Amino acid sequence: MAATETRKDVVLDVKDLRTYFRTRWGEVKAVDGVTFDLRKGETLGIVGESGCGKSVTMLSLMRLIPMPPGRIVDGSISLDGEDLLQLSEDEMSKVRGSKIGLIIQDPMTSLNPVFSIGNQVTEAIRIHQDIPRHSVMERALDVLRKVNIPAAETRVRDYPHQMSGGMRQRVVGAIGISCQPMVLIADEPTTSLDVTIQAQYLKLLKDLQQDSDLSLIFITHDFGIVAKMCDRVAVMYAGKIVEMGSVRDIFNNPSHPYTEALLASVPKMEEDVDRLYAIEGQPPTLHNLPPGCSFAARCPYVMDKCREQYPPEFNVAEAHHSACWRLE
Amino acid sequence: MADATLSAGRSRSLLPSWQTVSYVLRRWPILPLFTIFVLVVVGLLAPWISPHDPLSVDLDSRNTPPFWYQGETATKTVVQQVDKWDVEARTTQISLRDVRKDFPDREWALGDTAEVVTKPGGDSDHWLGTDQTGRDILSRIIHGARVSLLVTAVSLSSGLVVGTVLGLVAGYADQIFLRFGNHIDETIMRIVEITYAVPTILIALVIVIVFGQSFVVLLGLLAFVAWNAFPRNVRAEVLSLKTSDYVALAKVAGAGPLRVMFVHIFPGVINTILVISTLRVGQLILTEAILSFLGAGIPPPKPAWGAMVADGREYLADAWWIALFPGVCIFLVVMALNFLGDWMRDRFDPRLRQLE
Amino acid sequence: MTTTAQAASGNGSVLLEAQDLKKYFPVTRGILLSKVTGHIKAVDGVSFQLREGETLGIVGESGCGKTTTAKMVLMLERPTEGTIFFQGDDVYGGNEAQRKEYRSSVQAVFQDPWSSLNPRMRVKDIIAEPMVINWQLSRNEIQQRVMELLNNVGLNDYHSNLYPHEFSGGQRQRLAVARALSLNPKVIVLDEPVSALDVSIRAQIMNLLKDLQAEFGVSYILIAHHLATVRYMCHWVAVMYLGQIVELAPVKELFDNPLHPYTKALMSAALPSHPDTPQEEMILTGEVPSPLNPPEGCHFHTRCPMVMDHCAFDIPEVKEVTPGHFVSCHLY
Ligand SMILES: Nc1ncnc2c1ncn2[C@@H]1O[C@H](COP(=O)(O)OP(=O)(O)O)[C@@H](O)[C@H]1O
Ligand SMILES: Nc1ncnc2c1ncn2[C@@H]1O[C@H](COP(=O)(O)OP(=O)(O)O)[C@@H](O)[C@H]1O
Ligand code: SF4
Ligand SMILES: [Mg+2]
Ligand SMILES: [Mg+2]
Repeated sequence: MAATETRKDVVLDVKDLRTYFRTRWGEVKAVDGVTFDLRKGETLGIVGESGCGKSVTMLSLMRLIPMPPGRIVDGSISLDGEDLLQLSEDEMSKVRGSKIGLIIQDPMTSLNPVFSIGNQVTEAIRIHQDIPRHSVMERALDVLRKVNIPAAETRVRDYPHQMSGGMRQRVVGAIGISCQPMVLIADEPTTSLDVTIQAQYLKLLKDLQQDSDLSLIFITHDFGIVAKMCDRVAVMYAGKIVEMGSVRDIFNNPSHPYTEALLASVPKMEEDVDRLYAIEGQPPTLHNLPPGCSFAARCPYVMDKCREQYPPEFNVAEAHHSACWRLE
Repeated sequence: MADATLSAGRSRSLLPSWQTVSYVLRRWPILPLFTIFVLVVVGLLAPWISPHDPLSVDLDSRNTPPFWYQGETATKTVVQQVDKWDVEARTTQISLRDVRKDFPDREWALGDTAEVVTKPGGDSDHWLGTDQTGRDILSRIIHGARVSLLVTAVSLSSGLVVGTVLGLVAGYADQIFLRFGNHIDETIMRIVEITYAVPTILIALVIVIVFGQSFVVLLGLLAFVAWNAFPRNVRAEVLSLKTSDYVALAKVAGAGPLRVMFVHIFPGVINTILVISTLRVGQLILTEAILSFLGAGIPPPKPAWGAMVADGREYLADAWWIALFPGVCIFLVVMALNFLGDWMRDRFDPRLRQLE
Repeated sequence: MTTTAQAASGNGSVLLEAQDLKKYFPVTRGILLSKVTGHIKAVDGVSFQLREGETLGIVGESGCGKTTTAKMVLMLERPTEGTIFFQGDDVYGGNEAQRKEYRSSVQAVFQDPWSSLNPRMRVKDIIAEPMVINWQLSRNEIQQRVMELLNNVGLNDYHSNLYPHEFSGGQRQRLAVARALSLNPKVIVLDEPVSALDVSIRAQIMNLLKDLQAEFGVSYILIAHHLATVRYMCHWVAVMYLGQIVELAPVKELFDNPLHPYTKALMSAALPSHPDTPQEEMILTGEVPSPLNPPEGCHFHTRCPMVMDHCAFDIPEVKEVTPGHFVSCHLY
C-alpha cells in the first residue's frame, strides 16, 4: 500500500538508460544502465567526477544527445506517465522547456550573445506557452524578478556580456523556470561562480523549488552542494550509478568504496583533518572498460571477484542500495 | 532477409566500401594533396617532361583540338561553282578548283563525289591541342606551372619572412622595448591595415603602364600581396601565447625575453604561419593569373596560365581548349590549396577561423 | 600590517615580507594619443609575512587581487607602490644579481594544468628549463635531477620523454610541481593549484604538497577560494577583499574565531561537509564592487550586514585584536 502511494508522486522514472557514443577509440558507454526515479518536490543529486556521464545522462533525459556520434541504445524515460523515448521530435520539443527545464554549466554559452536578455526570456515563454502577446513581457519580468534580478525592467534591455557571471546564471535560471516545468535539471550551475554568489544562487533555487513544488535534479561533483541541497543522492562512476540513497544514509553510512573514498578525500571546514584520504590512480576512460567493477583498479578493498564480474545492486537499507561485492 | 546478409557480406569484402572511401576522402585532404603534388612535380620537371617546346610556333597546325576530338567529314559533289549564298549547297557541294587544290593527287571531274574534312580532328602529337599560333597547350601548361611555382615561391617566402617578423615584433614589442613597445605595435598594425585597403590589381596596372611588364615588378607586387596576412595573425597568436601560463612560468624560472620569444613563443606560431602560407599560395596563384590575364603579369612569351586564358578568350567559339585547360588548372590548384589550408587550420587551430 | 607583531607570534624566521604592496592598472581611452582615465586598484596596500616552512593562505572572491599579489611576489608585475623583502633584502631595490637570486628562490604552480606546461616541449625539457637557465650543470647531472624530481612527485623515469598532452590533469599538476621544485626554491607560490582538478585527484595533490613541504622545508603562498582547502593546507590565512587584506590570523584562530564580517560571510557561504552541519544563514547580497571605483570608507560597507554609519566614510585601521590576529573593521 505504502509503495503504491509513493509511486504515485513519481514524476520522472528512468529505467536502464544506456547512451553510447561511437568514437575513434571505440564505443564509449557514457551512460550504461542508469535507473532512478524522482518524486514531486524532491531534489535528487547526481554526483561524480568529470567524465563519469552526468551531463550525458541529463542530455539523454532532454533527448539532446548529438546523434551521431551518440545514440540512446536502450531504456525508458517516463515523465508524468509518458515515455519520452517514444515521442516524435516535434512532441519532444514541446516537452522540453515546458515540462523539463534545464540550467547548464556555462552561462556564457547558454545565452545567445546577440540577443538581449528580455528577448531570450520572452522567446522561451512564447515557444511553450499560449499566452497573449502583450502579456509575454509581463511574464518575462515576473520570472526575472523571481530570480532576483535587480531592476528587471531596465536589465531586460541588457546583453549577456553586460552582466556578471552570477547575473547571467540567474537569467539562465529564469529561462529554465519560465514555463513552470515539473522537473528542472541543473547541470553544475554554480561551478564557475564564487562561493558567495554560489550561496545566493543555491538559496534562490531552494526558494523557487519551495514556491512551486518543483522537482530538481542537481548534477554536481561537490558533496558540499549535495549536503546543502539534496534529499537523495545518486553517485555515478564510469557511466553507472554505484550507490543511491537518502542524503543522510549516504553521508552517515557510505557503503560503496568510491563514495566512502570521495567523502574522505575532501577537506572539511569545520574541523582539522590531519591527513586526507587520497584515492589512487585516475578516473577511468569509458572506452574499453575492463569487465567487472569499474572502480576495482582504485579500490582499497578489491577482491578477485570484483575484477571478473560487475556487482549487482545490494540493498543496504530501505531505499539505499549500492553496487559492491563487499555487501554480498 | 537473404538480401540483407548478402549485402552485409559484400561490404566486408576486401575492397573498401563507398562509405569508407568517401569518409576517408572527407577526413583527409587526399585529393588536394595529390593535386599539389602533381603541380610541384610537373613544375620541377617541366623541361624534361614537356612534349614540345612551349614557345615553338607552327602556323600550319594552328588551333588543333585535343587528341580525342573526332574530325568531321562530309561527302560532297564536285560542281563548277558553289553558290556562296546557298547554305544547303555549301554543305553538300565543293568547287572543282577547291577539290583540285585539296586533293591534288587525283583527277577530278564535275559530278564526282569527294570525302571532305569539314572540321579537323585531334592529333596525338598535341594531346591538349594547340593555340592560335600552333604552340602545344600541354607543354605551355607544364611550363606555366613551373613559372607559377617560381613566382609564388619567391614572393611567398619574402612576404612570409617580412610579415612574420613584423607580426612577432608587433606582438612582443612591449616585452623588449618596454614603453615604446606599444607605439611600435600600433605603427606596424596601422600600416598593415592601410595595406589592406590598397587596391592591388589597380596599382599593378598603373605600375605596368609606367614601368612596363617585368618579372621584378611582378614579384614585388606579389610579395606585397603575400605579406600582409602574416602580421595580423602572427601578432594575435603571440599576444595569446605571451599571456599564457607557461610563458609566465618561464619568466619565473628566469628566462629572458629572447629565450621566451624563441623557445616558447615562436614554435607556437609556426602552425599559424603554415596555415596562412597555404591559403596565401592559392591567392598568389590566382592574383598572378589575374595580372597575366590583364596583361600585367608574367611578360610574354613566357607561358603563364592567366595569359593563356586571356589569349584563348577570342577563340572560345571555335577553339575552346585554348582557354579552358589553363583555366581548369588555375581552378584546381587554387581549390586544392584552399581546401588544404582550411583543413590544416581546423586541425591545428580552429580559433584561426575567426581571424582570417 | 604591523609586521613586527606578526613576527613575534610565529615560530620560524621570516623569509619573505610584503610591505604595503599596491598595483594600479591604468585604464586608458583613445588609440594613438591615449589618455589615462582611471585606475583599477587591483591590489591596494597589502602586507604580510611568510615564515620558513610555513604556508600562508590567501582567500577571497575572484577579482579581489589574489593573483595580482602573487604576480608581484613572482616579479611578473611591478608593484605601483610598496616592496617585498626577501631574507631582509629589498627585492625591488636590489641589483640584477640579487634579483636573479630571488627569482630562483621563488617558484610557482598555477591553476590550470593544461596551459601551464608548454605543449611543444618534452617533460624532461620542461622540468629542466629552470636549471638550464640558472645553473651550470652537465647534461647528465640535469638528467639525473629530472629523474629525481619526477620520483619526488610520484611519477616515473619513463615519463620524462613524453609530451604534456599524454598526461591527465593531476599528473600534469605533478609535473608543474616537479618543475617548481627543481631549483630548490625557498618559496613556492601556488595559485589555486587544485581547483581545476577532478575531485578524486585533489587530495593526492594536496597531500603531495604537504609531504614536499615536510621533506624540503619549502614555504608556500597558497591562493584558494575554498576555505576548507585553506584550513587543511595553511598555517596562516589572509582574507582579501577588493585589493586589501581585511583579516589575517593563524589558521586555527581564524576558523575558531573569525572576526571580520566578510570572513564570517565567506564561512557561512562555504558548503557544509555534512547535511546536518548547522549553518548560520548570512548570505551576502550583491557582488564585489568594481576595483575601478572601490567604495569609500570600508570597502566592504556596501555589502556588510553589520554596517554602521561611519563605515561609509572612515577607513578602518588594522588592529591586532589578539596576538597575531589582525583585522581591519570598525567593530573592533
Ligand atoms: N559528443 C560526444 N562524443 C563522444 N563522446 C562523448 C560526447 N559527449 C560525451 N562523451 C563522452 O561521455 C563521457 C561522459 O561525459 P559527460 O557526461 O559530459 O561527463 P560529466 O560527468 O563530466 O558531465 C565522457 O567520457 C565523454 O568522453
Ligand atoms: N593586466 C591587467 N590589466 C587590468 N586589470 C587587471 C589586470 N590583471 C588583473 N586586473 C584586474 O585586477 C583585479 C584583480 O584581479 P586578480 O588579481 O586576477 O584577482 P583574483 O586572482 O583574486 O581573482 C580584477 O578586477 C582584474 O580585472
Ligand atoms: S568596518 Fe563596518 S562595513 Fe566594514 S566590515 Fe566592519 S562593520 Fe562591516
Ligand atoms: Mg558535465
Ligand atoms: Mg586568480
